[in-house]
Amino acid sequence: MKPMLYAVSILAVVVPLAGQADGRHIDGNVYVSPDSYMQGNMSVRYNAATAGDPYVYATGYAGSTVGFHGRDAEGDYFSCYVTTSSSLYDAAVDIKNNLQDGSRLYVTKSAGSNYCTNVFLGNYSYYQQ
Amino acid sequence: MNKSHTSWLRVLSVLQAVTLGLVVMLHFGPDESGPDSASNARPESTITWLQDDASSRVSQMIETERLKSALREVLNEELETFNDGESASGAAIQVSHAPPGGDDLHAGREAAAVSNAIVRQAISAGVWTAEDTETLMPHLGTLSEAQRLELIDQFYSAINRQELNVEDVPPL
Repeated sequence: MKPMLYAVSILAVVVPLAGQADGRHIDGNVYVSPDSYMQGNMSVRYNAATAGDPYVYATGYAGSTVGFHGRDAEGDYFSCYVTTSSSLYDAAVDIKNNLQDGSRLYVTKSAGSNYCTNVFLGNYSYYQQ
Repeated sequence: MNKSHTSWLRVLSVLQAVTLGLVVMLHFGPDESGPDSASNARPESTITWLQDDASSRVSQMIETERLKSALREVLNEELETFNDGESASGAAIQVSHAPPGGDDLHAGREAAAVSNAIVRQAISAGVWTAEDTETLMPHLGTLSEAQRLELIDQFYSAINRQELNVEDVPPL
């Protein structure tokens, strides 16, 4: 009886601490302004409250074009690419390689074009799962 | 054919003969160094040789153009086959692969034609599926950088026009 009570009392202290989330947290999302820009968090994957089926990702062949893509909760798509001849290329490769949980990707392009004009990456503690 | 047209033809023929004669005279003119069998070649045989050479070149050019035209027709027919019939049902596209050891350039062009046809078909259907990815992937490795970029441009343009529902993500 005493060991059981002892175990229960320990659990009563430990479990609440384990479930407590310290620090700021914001659910990830994706927003697309068609033919203009996209912003998205990799952690949208874990946002159970979001509508639709949003996602964001980056692609690229070794030594070749890098692409950034996404779909928001409303089903709007976005894609753009950075070619090897672009001044953005080296940084775009780094960004593509560093997308992870907590990342926020923001990409722009000109209307009617598929070239990325800006590629931004931030890594935030509060965007992590 | 009226008289004036006939006259023009005659004038052109005369001018042509005169021009050839001048060319021969300039090229095979009198040799001041002395008698020489090569430089004293009869102008008539030289004119004949020039005419024959020009004629054979023209024939070769015509034959080359005929071959190019025939190749274009075959390629267009093959592309139409991929776009018609089974494309509406989304069935997998049958592909003929380049023979082992075949020309890389030929293989690249064929892969580009097939890849573009697959993307066009998906755009027509309004959806890119896992089956499309599976059909496309064997050809991507054969594409040149420029060919892949052309494919990417076509694919991304459709996405940005919101004309393509991407159910699966191809390596583009």
